[in-house]
Amino acid sequence: MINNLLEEVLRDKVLSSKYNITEEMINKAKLAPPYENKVIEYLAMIIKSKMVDMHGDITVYNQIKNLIK
Amino acid sequence: MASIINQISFQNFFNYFGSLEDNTYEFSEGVNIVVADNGGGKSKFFNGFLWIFYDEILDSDTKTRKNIKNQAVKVCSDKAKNEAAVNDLIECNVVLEFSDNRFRYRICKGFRIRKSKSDSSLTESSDWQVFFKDLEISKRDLQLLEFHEVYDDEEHKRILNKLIQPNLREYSLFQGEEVDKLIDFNQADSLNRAVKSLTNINKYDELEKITKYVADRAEKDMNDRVASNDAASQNYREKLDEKETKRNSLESEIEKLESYEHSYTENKGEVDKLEGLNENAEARKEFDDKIKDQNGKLKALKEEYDRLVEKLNERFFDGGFGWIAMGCEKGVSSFKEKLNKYREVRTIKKVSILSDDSNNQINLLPPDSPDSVTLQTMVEREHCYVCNREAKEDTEPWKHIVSLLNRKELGQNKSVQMFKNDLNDFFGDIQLGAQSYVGRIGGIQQSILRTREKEQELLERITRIKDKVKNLKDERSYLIIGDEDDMADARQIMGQYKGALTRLQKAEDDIVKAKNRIASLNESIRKDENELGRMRPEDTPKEYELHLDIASDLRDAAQRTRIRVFDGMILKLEKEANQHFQNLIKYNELAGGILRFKKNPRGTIDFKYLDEEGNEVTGASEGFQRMKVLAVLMAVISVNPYGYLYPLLADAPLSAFGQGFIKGFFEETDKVFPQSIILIKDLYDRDSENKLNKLGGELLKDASVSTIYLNQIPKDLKQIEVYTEHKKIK
Repeated sequence: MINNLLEEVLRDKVLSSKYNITEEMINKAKLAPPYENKVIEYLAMIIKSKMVDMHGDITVYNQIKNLIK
Repeated sequence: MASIINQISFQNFFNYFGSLEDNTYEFSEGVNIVVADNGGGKSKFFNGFLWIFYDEILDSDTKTRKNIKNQAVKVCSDKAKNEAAVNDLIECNVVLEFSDNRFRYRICKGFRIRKSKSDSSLTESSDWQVFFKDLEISKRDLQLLEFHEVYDDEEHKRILNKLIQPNLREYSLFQGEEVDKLIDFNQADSLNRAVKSLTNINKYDELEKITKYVADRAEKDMNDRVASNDAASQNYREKLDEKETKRNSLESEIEKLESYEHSYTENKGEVDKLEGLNENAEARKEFDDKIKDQNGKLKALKEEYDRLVEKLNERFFDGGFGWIAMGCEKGVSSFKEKLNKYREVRTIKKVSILSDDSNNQINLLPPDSPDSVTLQTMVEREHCYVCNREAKEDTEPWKHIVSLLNRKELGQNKSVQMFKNDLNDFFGDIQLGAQSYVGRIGGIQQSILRTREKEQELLERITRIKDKVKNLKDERSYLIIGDEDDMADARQIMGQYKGALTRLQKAEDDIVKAKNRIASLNESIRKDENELGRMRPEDTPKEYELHLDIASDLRDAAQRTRIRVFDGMILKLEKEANQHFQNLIKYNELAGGILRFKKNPRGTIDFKYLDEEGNEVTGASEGFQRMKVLAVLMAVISVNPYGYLYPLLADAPLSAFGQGFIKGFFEETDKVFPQSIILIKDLYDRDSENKLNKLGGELLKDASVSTIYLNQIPKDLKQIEVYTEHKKIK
């Protein structure tokens, strides 16, 4: 169910064209690494942290921020 | 994997007298049916589920759910209580086993009761001591044989939720008429609540919120970072402030939008609630207007009739009608005859009297004889105006004129009593008075006939209008709900409905305007963000920019995705619902309508039931109404890409709706629910050899039906000895 959420967002045309996300990448996309694209990693982390690990918003953000550093 | 109930056992639970082993029902995936006649233990069976999930049972006397703690004595089998000796302990338990893809779980709820005196009443709580047991849950790996007790309360809760999630229990566990409330189409949010509970659409809402939060925080971090940099220009700071102001406006617009949406929901709810009542009130008013109109006509006709009847007497004496003279034709001719005779006799008598008395003879002047004034003039002027000749004084002609002038004094004009007329002008008066009647006599019969025709015509028109009023009242009576027939209330309902409709329209307009303003502000903020990106100092860390860029793009993508998925879901929902509906009703002779789903300005779903012409259908039969609810429920479950993961447990979901609906229901249920346990009496036939009716026989052979149990009560038992026997017939 949650993977489906990831796929659906990645299918957004504006997002996929800006970040060159292909159909193959979408089909392979999972919440767990490895990630083929920074945006996929970003989105997967948000979904996993919020909806699987049930973290609060602040924790979710701090985890995301760590991806950048 | 879905949770599947493997078995349920009862021990001295209502009719289920005896040990758990004696009262065990084994089920598997697909459709499972328990057939029982009235009193055969269907509702008691369902009470087992209510106990497991809610610690409640349905009190069949009051039709309300009650906490089992206060009902223990009632719940325990009468036969067990009756057979118990003083101080005997009776076990009363319900044990349910279910499994997922890894474990098999056993849930046990129970209590013991002790008989405290020999003459204990079977229903009096004070005559029994009750000892409730703690919830017992154990589990075993599917590959192993032995169950292990689970002690942790949280784990207990998790296992119960695994069987059926609390927010889904209302859609998974229902009894009879409760089906109609699963999705109440008169409650604006009922369908949307079902959609949120049964699909993953709320996950998209959640994702939209968290990506927005992440993007906002990323932006704040970036702004803090840039603001702390001395190289940041004044223009940059001003732009940042400008953007912040727009963001505040955006927040304010979002708040307003929420308030408009709240108003929309409230008024939509009111409109939906009042729609039926308003239609009813309008229809009643329409009938009332027609009845009023007809009553007005009836009143006018009755008045006309009364006037006609009142004037019947007058017509006897009214010269215009003269009905009193009817049949007097002979009387008139006889009167005329007698009058003529009288006149004749009278004249003869008069002549005879005059002849007898010569002294009293009267010189009757011929016509045109001059009067005394003329005669005096003739004397004075010595001229006769009769013969136009001179009449000199003392001549014969002059003397003759003088003698005529003086005839009265000379006694020549002496009146005589010829005979005494005591009748005065009696006969003349009669003639005068009767004149108008006499003239009408010939037409009286015709006049009466015309009056009778008029009366008949009025009576017929009155009857026709009375019939019309009665028919209108009869038709109107079908619109009266219960004893409620107060038109003041109806007018109030119409007023309320109109008001709610106006407010709803306004809320819709406000929502559209607010959404436009929000879109415009968002667009403007995006432009500011781009501009700020260009204006950032060159030494701004690139990773911060990338962080913000990705976070903002994911926020926008999550928002667009939610809208896209929701719109797609509505289309799918409509398709699925109509498919399920047609399948559910396909064995019914009547064709059903079309289920229409539409996204409303608030961004939630509106539902309508339409005919082929697109008109809203009202007054569909209860069977169709229930199938509509089930079709929509099944559609909501079907649009979920992962299907439904819990069993359906239903007691008499379709009682009295006919075999066609039941057949369609079993076929469709199998497509949607991984497992269903249906308690039903409509397949029972006491006269048939296998106790199943024709449809029951068909289901017995149907491969999609996994198990069928037949519950029966042994014959000729006293009430306190009653217990349920069951046998697995499939």
